[in-house]
Amino acid sequence: VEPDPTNREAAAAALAEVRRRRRQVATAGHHGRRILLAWAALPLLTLPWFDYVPVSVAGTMVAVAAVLFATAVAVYAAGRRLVPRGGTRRYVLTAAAGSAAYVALVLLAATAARQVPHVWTLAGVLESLPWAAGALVDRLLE
Amino acid sequence: VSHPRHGLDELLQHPVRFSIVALLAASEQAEFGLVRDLVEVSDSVLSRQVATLEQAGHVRVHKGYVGRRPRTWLSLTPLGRSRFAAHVASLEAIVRAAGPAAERARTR
Repeated sequence: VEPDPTNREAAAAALAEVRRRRRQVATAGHHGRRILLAWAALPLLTLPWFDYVPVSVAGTMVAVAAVLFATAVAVYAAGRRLVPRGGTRRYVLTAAAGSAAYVALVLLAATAARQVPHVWTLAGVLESLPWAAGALVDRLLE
Repeated sequence: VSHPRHGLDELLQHPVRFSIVALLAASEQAEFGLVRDLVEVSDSVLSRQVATLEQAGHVRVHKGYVGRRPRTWLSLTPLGRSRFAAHVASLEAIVRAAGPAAERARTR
């Protein structure tokens, strides 16, 4: 069958439409990335408190901040109007990596607290990395 | 050898339906109002086309609430996703097949 050039033009236009819609979804689906970046900021802003205030005070502040933050994220996530394809899987994988890193870093920091100066600040920086990496991957896959 | 156009899904030949499905193919789920705004159609047009796609098993419609606000979510079913993938593959085949033929016609 000889291909019909009109068909080719129509097919090319349809494929351009597919690319256009993908771009629209990538633009409209940036909320997931914002959530990942927000989770990256939380340890960066809270864990260093352990270096500067008594442990009991810092622990209470971190716990309160985490609860408030998790509530805010849940409210923000519920208001999302679009979830890009693979967005949930990327979020779950990043959350798993971030949570595992958090437990390991807190245990390490608690062990090395007396030997290493500013160890909690370092732990906060390191803990933010998996979340920031997740956000970067999300941006690259856009 | 059959022409790649035989692989096209008739339901997706409609431009609005094609745009809706192309949008949903890149998403896990999308809210009705957002799809309406992005595809640039009215509520009634979107409802009609979504109903057609739902009847054919291409699209799933589910309703929920965000706070007290009702929300309608749209997503592609596995059938819709595979039909769309086959449709896009046929479009790509048409473009590829037409390339050398169009070149031959120009140089004839």
